Amino acid sequence: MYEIVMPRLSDSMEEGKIIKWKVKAGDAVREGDVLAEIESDKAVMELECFHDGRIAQIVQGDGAEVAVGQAIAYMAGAGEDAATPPAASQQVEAKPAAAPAAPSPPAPQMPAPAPPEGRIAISPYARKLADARGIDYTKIKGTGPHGRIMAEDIEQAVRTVAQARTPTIEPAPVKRTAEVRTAEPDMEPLAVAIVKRFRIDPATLRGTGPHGMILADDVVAVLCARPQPAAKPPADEELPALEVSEEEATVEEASFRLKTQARHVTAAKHVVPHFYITASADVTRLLERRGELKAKFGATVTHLVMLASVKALKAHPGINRTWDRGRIIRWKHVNLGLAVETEQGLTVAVLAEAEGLTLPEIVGRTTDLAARAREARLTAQDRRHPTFVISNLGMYGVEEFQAILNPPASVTLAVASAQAAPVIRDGGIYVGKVMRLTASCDHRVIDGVGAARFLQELARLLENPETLLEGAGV
Amino acid sequence: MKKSELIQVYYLMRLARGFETRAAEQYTKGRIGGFCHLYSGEEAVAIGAMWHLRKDDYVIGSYRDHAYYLVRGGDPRKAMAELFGHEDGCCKGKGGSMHLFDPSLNFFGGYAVVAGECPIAVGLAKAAQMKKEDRIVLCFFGDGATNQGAYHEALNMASLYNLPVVWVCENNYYAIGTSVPRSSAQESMAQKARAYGMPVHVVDGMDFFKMQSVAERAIAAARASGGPSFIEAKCYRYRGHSMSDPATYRSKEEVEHWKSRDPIPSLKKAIQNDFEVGEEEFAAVDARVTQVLDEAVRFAEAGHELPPESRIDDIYAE
Amino acid sequence: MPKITYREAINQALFEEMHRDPAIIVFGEDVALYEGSFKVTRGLMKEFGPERVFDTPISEAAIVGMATGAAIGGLRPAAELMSVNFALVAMDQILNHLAVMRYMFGGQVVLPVTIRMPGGGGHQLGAQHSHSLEVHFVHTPGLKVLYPATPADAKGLLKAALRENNPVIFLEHEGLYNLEGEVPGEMEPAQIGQAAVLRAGTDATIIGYGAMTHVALEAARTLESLGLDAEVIDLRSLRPWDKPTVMQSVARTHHAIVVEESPPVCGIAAEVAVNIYENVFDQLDAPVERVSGADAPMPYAKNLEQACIPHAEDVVAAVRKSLGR
Repeated sequence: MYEIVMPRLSDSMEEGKIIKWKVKAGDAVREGDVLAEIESDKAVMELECFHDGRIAQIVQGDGAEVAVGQAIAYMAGAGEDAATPPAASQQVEAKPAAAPAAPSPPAPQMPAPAPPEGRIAISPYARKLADARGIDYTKIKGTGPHGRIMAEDIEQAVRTVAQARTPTIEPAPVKRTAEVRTAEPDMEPLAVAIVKRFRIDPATLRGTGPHGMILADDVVAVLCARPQPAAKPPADEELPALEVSEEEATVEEASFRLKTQARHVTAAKHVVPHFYITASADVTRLLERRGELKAKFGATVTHLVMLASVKALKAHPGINRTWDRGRIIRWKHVNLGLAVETEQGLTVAVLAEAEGLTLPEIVGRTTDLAARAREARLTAQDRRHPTFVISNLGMYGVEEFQAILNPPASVTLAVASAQAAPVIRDGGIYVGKVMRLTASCDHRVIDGVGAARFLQELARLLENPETLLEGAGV
Repeated sequence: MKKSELIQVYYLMRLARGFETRAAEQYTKGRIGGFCHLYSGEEAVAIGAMWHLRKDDYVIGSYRDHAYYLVRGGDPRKAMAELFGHEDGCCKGKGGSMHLFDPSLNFFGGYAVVAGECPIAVGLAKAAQMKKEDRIVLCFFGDGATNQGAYHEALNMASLYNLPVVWVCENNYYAIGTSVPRSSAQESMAQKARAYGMPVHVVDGMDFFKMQSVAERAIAAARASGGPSFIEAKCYRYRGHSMSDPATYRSKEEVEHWKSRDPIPSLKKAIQNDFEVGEEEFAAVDARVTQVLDEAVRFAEAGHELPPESRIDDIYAE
Repeated sequence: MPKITYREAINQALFEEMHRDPAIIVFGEDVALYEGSFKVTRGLMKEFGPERVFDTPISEAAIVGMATGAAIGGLRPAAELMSVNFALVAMDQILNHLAVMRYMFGGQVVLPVTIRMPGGGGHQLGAQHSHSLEVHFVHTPGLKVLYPATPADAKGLLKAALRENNPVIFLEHEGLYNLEGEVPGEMEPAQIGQAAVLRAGTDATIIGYGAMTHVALEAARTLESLGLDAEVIDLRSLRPWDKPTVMQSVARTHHAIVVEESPPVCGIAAEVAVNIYENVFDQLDAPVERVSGADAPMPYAKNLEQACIPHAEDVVAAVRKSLGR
């Protein structure tokens, strides 16, 4: 007995409609005869007879819509009895469901070479989180593959820290009031308690619970991101908070760089005992040679002051020292820091090992440094440990100013503009050019006498160009 | 030809025709997937072309390859199992209907890209020539293949190097739904091949006797280092291009006309003309075919596919 | 040790292997009488006769198909495509026949076919003559892909290819044909799938192949003068490629830079980079840097073309970027 099924007439066909049977029970049929017209998803097609025999029974009639593979008729093969009830025929063997395709096995892992001693495996993202949350990841055990520290390990550490802070609050059973949607996001009771205790502004909270519900975890996360009162507050905090309305001003968050700089300069002013000492130098003769020096070497007044500073420091090495928490650091080299103006603000670029440089060398390396500073391409090396800093505002006509120190340099030299002034020389009064130089000094390691002597030498060099330029490759 | 030989031809025709019918049935039952291209109507071409081959000659052809495999001596069970995608198919279920292949029969596939087999036929012939073997290569393709670039490259090379290839073009007049006049500026396949300087034959592909006669000459010439030749066999496929093709581009009359020239009744008549053969003898052959095909379907139904892990096996040889 | 050119090394490999195995035949456009458009097959027809070394018409599809069929028939064909650019005409035969047939026919056939093709740009040959198409072959299961950078490797790897029982795409770089190097007279075939560490270093790992290996070496020399110590790895084999050697190196240096002449999208460098991320992620101090050709067809004008191909300075900049120095 052959089962005639709704045929699969196209790849996409899932069910078909019997338009019209061309045969009936009892009819003799031959291989190749057309048994019925079937409508598929694409077209009306003929149902072919595949065997010689006789139709035993029509199971689905004209107009029936039948799924592909379901029986629509039975026929007896040549030699079989068509009258045999189809119940005796074999059931359609359900094709065993194909085993779900095995997901492709993960690419065989290279055994990861063990990290060398001292190297901590931490994912780049986890490291960022650790920095942002103030977590020392070297103390954390990673739960990622091969002991890698993952973001979750950092989050866990944060939660642990937070939990240590709220020991008195019993963790209330979390009430998931997800069905109740109010205009404001729900807060779980524990979260409400923490918000109240630490006076947290709910507007700063982002809920990660169902429907935006604020969980205790979310509050704790904000808490940990807040500046720690126990740590030394940035000086900003001591000033009264500023409340500004939209009509008065626009407010933007300062860049990380600016914030860092603000912190550093505040600390420098705060911590280091500054004193200021000013000297005047008659730079008339020096400036007379400026044109020639500029033409030949591209040298500016700043370069000349740098040269003079280096030479003066050689004669007064006591200036080239730094006080650091009770230690005195004697620098082996003069690393000249130069305040360079860039789009992002003032930055100190360091001309390392400046002692012994000729004027052309100073010009060349400084020009390169300044260019890199303006292109924001200064490397860590370019900023490292200035031992003496020069800030020149002379080009703006400034008569005199006092700079804030740039640690670790113990002196920052503020160079003002050369002003026209009466000068007494060789028994006569002339109109000369006088430049005021103000040294801001760290009184912990530099005293008045030392500073004065240094400035005196510096002025002497600037007033005597031949001495200044001697041995300077000019 | 002797009576026993003709009965053998009749058997092969019934086998090839019956296999395609079973394949159609199994395809509509969802046991065969993908594409399924059936040879019904063209049996005389394959059988006639291969009748004078030696066992060590090479055969290669297109995706309409069930008949090539069977006529070359392939096991219908392994063919049906391959169509079912099972591990005891001739290619472990990795090829499917379009890629039957059996080196022990010197049958080298079964290719899905039209005319893709033609350059490979050139290589097979080149190897035979270089090794000084006197075997030949029979390469089957359709009318559509004769417009493909690779086809021309292959014909040119075979002629240039005087290779022992017999090019057999099954001109069934349609490349899926595009008829020869709509696709070929030069409607004579033989003329196109002529341009490469080889002997060409045009033959009635529905007539086994004419087909085998022409093929015999071409094969002998190739074997005697006479180089390649070309046979254009005018024939007709009774079914659509594949199981997905309702063949609405052909009129019922046209199909009926070609059905009236069905090679199987013609052969039967010819045998009865020349020999004393009763209906029972034919019926016995038919019964044998039915038995063989029933067995093939049962074999295929009882089998199963290779496990998923073997999907990366057989890519590279040692 | 004798010093010969890359071209001569390939020629030697063909000579030696063809003497050793009479089943090897060589064919392609202008390879026999003309001795090769790049003269790589010089002297072969004279030595082995026109049966084993012969010219074909301009029929890339048939050249590859013939190689495939001849392999089934028991020969070991070493076909030459005049350049990798023309391989595009034969892509169906390469990717859709040669690469899949063993698998498709259930492992019943062995295809010991080598297809040699020179590629690469830099000689103002224009967009259609300057492709680096290795990625298309490397992407395809069923093929093996080799790309030597030195004369010694050209000889060793070609010998290996000719003895390999699978289809091998053997890529050569047109710009390297005149490169000289030490090549032993007697030589065992190289190992397919093995990279070479051409320069040991500690600060960064530069990975390259083909002509870019030499760009990498030049970059390493420049880096040395800047106080940076780069390790240079020549992949040599692109499919399969030597993952353990690369991973061990990057695990040590923590910085990886991959150089390729081809445009970057989905290229060999992308493949290497992802594998580095998968295997030695925790050792990385910086993302993997790719130095690739421009994402553009190759222009004709000399300066434009040079701007489309990686140079040592590009590699140096990438290393410095990775190191932050």
